[in-house]
Amino acid sequence: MPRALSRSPIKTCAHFAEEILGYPLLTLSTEVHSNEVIESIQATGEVSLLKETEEELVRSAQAGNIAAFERLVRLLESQMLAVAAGFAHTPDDANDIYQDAMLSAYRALPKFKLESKFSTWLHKILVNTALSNRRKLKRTWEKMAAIQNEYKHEEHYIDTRSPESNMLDSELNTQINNALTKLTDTERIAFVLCHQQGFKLREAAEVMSCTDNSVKVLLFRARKKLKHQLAEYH
Amino acid sequence: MTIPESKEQFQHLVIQYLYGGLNAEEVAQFEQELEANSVLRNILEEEQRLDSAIPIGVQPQIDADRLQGNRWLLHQNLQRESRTRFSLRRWLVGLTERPLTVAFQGAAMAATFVLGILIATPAGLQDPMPVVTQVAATDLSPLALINDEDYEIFQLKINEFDATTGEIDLSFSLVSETRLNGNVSDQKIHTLMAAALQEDIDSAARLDTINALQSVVSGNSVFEALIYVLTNDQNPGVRYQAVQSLVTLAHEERVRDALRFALSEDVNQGVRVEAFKALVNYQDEQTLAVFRRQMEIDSNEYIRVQARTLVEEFDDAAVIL
Repeated sequence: MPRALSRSPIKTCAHFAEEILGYPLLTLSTEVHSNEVIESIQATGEVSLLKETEEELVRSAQAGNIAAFERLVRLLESQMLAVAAGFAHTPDDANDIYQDAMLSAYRALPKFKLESKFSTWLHKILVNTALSNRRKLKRTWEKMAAIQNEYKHEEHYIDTRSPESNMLDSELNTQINNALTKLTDTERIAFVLCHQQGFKLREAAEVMSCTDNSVKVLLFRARKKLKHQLAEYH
Repeated sequence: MTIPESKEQFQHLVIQYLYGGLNAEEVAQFEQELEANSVLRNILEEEQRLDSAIPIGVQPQIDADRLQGNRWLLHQNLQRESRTRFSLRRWLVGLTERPLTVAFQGAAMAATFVLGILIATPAGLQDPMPVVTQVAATDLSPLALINDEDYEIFQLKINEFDATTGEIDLSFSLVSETRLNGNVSDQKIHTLMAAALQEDIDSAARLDTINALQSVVSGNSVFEALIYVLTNDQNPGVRYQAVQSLVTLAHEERVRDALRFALSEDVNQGVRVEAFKALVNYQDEQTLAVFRRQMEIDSNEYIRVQARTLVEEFDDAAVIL
């Protein structure tokens, strides 16, 4: 005989939304704060979480709430991917670096102290992951580059200052990709953070765990090499 | 701010100026010095020439497809991670920190209700209530795999009721949770999984199902389900898995139809690239027509370049013949 139940496997709007988006929506506890976040964005014009909201999300994520962690990452994901893309040889490598870094961050989350900003901590993990991955991927990439010399699978650069985010000329794009490969890993990190992402020297120094002066020297060397590589474009 | 003496020191100062290393007062002082000091001005102009080639703020483009793909992949990776790395300590910490949630309260009420029924029922009539039921797969219909007592009613709705005559019109739904043990090569099991591929609303479940079905992809129902998924599923990750599973069956015309559709219509570059790779060895007229179109309009450079090469090779060979 059929019996009544309390379970409700109804396809809710949330289910459909998750289906379309391809990722879970917020949990009840994080949804509560969405209005605060919107108000914060409206008030400051910045995409940032209110401090107490970020703290609560971090605590929830530390307790194993995946949705809270994804919520924290979501506001930074575009920038984090762009940073990873700045370090990597190919878009696929960049995606791998991003995924590895986010998983490392999730694993390391219980150790995260709320003394520093979550975004700075996440950038630090991304930079460290990029450094270790680049060492691993370097040989593979060199082999692949030799085989697929005719096919350039590279990042496309856009000028984010213009409202239309114009793509760069394809020849210059290739030259920038080539020029960036001439930089050392640390020079490249300093350049990606400060020049591409607009970090101030002090912020980049915090992410790279070094002094402002070191970042300045790295940037100086990076710019010198790039000036030489891109001489015909300026 | 100390005014430097050597050219290198000037350059370092300019770097500080360009990348926010000076405070407001120092910036004002720097700009004042700039007007008076031609060496400093030349160095700044020299540095700004590089910025005309790579302006500050120029960065790799992260399009919506790529963002969504990474978001989805991260979700899958995190789910896997949380399944494989369950931490008792973390769970206990979470339990102490979390307030009593609605779900927890609901579960407690349900448990109290069930306990009450069990206590009130005479001992002889008590049936053990299985959490999940293991049944033998006996029929191709998913319904035949479910025991009668496992049906559960929800959303019963009285559409019409005549109190005077007692006539009633009602509708309701049934759900069931059933566990099957067996081998994925068992036709009954993979038929059920193929049906789930087209109906389950959970993307992660569909993805796991495709992965499990890869070894039996030639089964007719699986074959049809994969084609359906490739051409209809909303989740690009699921479509990507489907196209990869169909590669070995590209000799089938129906599969090639689906692959050609994916190559020309799918919004996800990864899916299109896999569809293209699967079609490369089958240069029939219809496939070449799709290649000709994609070599002009596809947003993916790999597809454009490779499709053009293949088409040109084919055309050259035709001329020679």
